[in-house]
Amino acid sequence: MPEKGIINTKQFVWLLFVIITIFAAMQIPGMLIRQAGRDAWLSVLGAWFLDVMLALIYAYMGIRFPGENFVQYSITILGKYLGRMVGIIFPLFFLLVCTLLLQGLAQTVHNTFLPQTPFNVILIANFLVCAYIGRKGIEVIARMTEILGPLFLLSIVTLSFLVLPSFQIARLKPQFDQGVAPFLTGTPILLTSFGVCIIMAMYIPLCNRPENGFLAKFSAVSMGALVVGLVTVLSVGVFGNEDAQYMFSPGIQLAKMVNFSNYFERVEMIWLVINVGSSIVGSASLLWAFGEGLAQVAGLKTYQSLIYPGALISLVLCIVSFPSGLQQTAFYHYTFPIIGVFVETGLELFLFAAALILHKRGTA
Amino acid sequence: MTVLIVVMALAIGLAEGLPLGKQGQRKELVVMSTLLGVAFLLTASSYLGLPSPLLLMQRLIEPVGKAIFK
Repeated sequence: MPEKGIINTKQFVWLLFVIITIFAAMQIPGMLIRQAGRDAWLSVLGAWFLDVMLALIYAYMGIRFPGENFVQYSITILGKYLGRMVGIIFPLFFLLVCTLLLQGLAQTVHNTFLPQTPFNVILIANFLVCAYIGRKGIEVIARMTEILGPLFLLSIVTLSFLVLPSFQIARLKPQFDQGVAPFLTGTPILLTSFGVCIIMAMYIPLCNRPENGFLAKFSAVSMGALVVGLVTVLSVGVFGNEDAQYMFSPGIQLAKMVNFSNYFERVEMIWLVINVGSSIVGSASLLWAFGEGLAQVAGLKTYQSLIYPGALISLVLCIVSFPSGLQQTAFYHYTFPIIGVFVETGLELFLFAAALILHKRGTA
Repeated sequence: MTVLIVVMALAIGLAEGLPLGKQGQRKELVVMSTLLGVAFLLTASSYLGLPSPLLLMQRLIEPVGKAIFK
């Protein structure tokens, strides 16, 4: 395996948590509220449940093919050629997610921190930092998430307490006023964001206790669902369904409401700094997964030399595909969930079924 | 922007490619060069007004997404 690093279960949990939360805490609550309205919090519960079910399959495959990630067991199950064709879809998917995430992050930084700075300068800076971290390997990324993950969780919980006085439960009522369809269609939008933690299949072979894969994913998704659920419920309860659905990042709008008299303002910057840090580390992890996966498909000894070129492709895709934040949001809302369901659920279920039918098992 | 991307691709190619060449890791060098080539092609195709792969996917899948999601 090109990656020689080892992570422990705690690092595994924080790695997954950071990836789930950053992807879900920025644009997703707004999209979810637009889709499911006041029932958005139910979509969070639905997505959490389905993602935990999916985690069972990923964890089972991790144990059935010990020491192999999904790129490797695609090849074991389907053979050298078909396996590589299927296996390469996973790293490409991670590159796509990294592209969407960094575009969203650059948009947030541009809107909130640096409105005078050209957008592409922020974007390039993001990619260079991510590639630098991604090239250092999984152990470095894992240690960073051990610091940023708990900070991120703590910041969201603190933020929730601070905005609680403005929360009106009446804004969450009535539930199911348009039937169950909005809540049911909201679930896949969030599920595909939670589902990005299929990256767990890349971490399982590197974990010192691979049998803890399901436990790690369960803990991470539960904490992630708590974070997204809190932001979603508070956004509806504070701003109302009608306003919250058009916000790019309701979490930042919530943070903007916090101030302590006149001497301590712009508290959202603290939250945003943690958010940006976590997003950078999460994106670095996705770039790492791209490099590692591609190196395995191509049979390379090292993956480090693929990180910067991967980041460059991602940067170019950002620039040529999404000249504005609106286009990225449209892609994220209407196109990404369908790609996500295909890769995160369809492809893994296909591999699971193929392994059972063909009686394939890992050899390690 | 196109010029900047080309410069970045060359810089990455030199920084990563030279050590790989010295160590005789030909396979790694080929894959890395291919990725840089893809980045260059994406930039060039955008310069020529051709849609990116993500926009093609969007054109293909978005109607389905719009039928399902609000």
